[in-house]
Amino acid sequence: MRYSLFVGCTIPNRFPGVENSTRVILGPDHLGAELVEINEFTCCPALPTFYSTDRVTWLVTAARNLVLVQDKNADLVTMCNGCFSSLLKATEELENVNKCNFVNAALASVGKQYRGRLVRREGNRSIYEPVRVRHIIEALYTDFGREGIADRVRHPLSGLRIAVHNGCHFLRPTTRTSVDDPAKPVMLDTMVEAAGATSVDFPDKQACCGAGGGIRLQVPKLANAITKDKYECIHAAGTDAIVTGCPYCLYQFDHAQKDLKVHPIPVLHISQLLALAFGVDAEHLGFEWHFVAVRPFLKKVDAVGVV
Amino acid sequence: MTPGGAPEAQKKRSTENGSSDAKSAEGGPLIVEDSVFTGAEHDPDFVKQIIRYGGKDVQTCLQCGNCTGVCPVSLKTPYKTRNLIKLCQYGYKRIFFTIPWICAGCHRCHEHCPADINPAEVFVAIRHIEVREKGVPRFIRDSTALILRHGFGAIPSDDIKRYREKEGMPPLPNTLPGYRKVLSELEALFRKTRFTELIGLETGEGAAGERKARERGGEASK
Repeated sequence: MRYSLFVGCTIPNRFPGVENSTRVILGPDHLGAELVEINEFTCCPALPTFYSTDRVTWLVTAARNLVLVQDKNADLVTMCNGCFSSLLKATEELENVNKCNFVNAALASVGKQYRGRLVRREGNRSIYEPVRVRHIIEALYTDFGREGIADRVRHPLSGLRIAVHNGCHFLRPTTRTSVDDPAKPVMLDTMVEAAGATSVDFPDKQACCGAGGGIRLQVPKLANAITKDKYECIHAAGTDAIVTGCPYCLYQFDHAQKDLKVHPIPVLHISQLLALAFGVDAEHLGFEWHFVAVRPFLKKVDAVGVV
Repeated sequence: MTPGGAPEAQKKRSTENGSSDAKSAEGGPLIVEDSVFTGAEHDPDFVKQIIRYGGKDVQTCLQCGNCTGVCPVSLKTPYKTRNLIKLCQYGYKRIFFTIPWICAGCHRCHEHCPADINPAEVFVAIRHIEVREKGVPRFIRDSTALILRHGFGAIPSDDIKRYREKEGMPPLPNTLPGYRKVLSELEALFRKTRFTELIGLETGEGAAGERKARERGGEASK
């Protein structure tokens, strides 16, 4: 497995622990994937800023990021639903020859060309496929599977009740593709179960967190009102933590709980949860940047270990 | 924004303009929920414009309301997706320029649309029109300025830099000396697609946005 991690904007600047835990669980001590470092990435670019105002600029900027991966023989893996949606959408648009030519005309001014990833050569012809854009949840689920993850668990989180939040752009990244079933997703739940925890059911399980599309930036009250509904369902189900695959959903659940002054439920990224289950010391996982204290959850994790 | 604020204001403006502009309305005022819209906001080419900017033909909407039922924003605000699409059908363009950009882009509406319209993409098209005809919202200009300056939409604080060092994580790309080249590439691309012009980064307004973004960056690093 060769992955190139696309960390995006939110993770390194708000939740650096998410990036670190992803690097640790994929690293040689645990899952042993090969990570290809690329130092020329920019913003994915963000859908509300670019896709909403100028599709051309959005596609050109996204294509520039994709060009950096196309010759590396690696899958581009994101830990963020926004980056996943933006870049996957871009690979689909670039399958259109006219759009691709147009984008390449712009990219030529900076000495770049988007071709996609080389699959094979047939005589003089080269066959390319779109750059593979993947989400960390899907990559873990498909490449390692429930068994592969469960094998690595040194500290099963048995008895802990987890509410999973997939996030809209993981379930419906583009109008054409979805990696998991949007109505009844299984991947994130399976990863949580592989860590030994229980994924609990609650009403409106696939509801939106409320932050997406710039709502959090413009009308935080509305974002919090949407989160409140989902929070109440999660709270009523009796859960120890909320686990998501998206840093922006994480940020919203974290912040909204502070703004709404409700009984706090810790929020974790799936990479952080798996790192805990793999036995990584919690002090490396950057929980100090979470607004809702994660310590009560860590105590429960430790208590499970003693038994 | 207070929920309901914009339609109230809209209603007021419609009644004010009603007497003079009602003549230009085709078929009189339009009533959606408790708001009355008149010809002042009307543009007969709106449907075509939406298609030009990548939305689907809103005239095929059946007005079934599935989109409203699953929309997280419709649930909490007076903006119901079905009604907004109806306003598109009638060509009431200017109303949209008064509504904040609050579509979450979750695409649940598309999943449930029997006419395959994808209202979320229609709203994206309307944002394209608004940016070109009315102007760019502040937060767009601010985040673009940040991205042009740092390559990413935010800058890490010193605490985070120390954490990365302690954990032995590779340095962030935009802290490396070679990243200057990337930023100049980005700027060249934005100029090529005339995005800087569209967003107004060239003008004094743009500079103000950049200054504000810088201040916010300073706050974030505290």
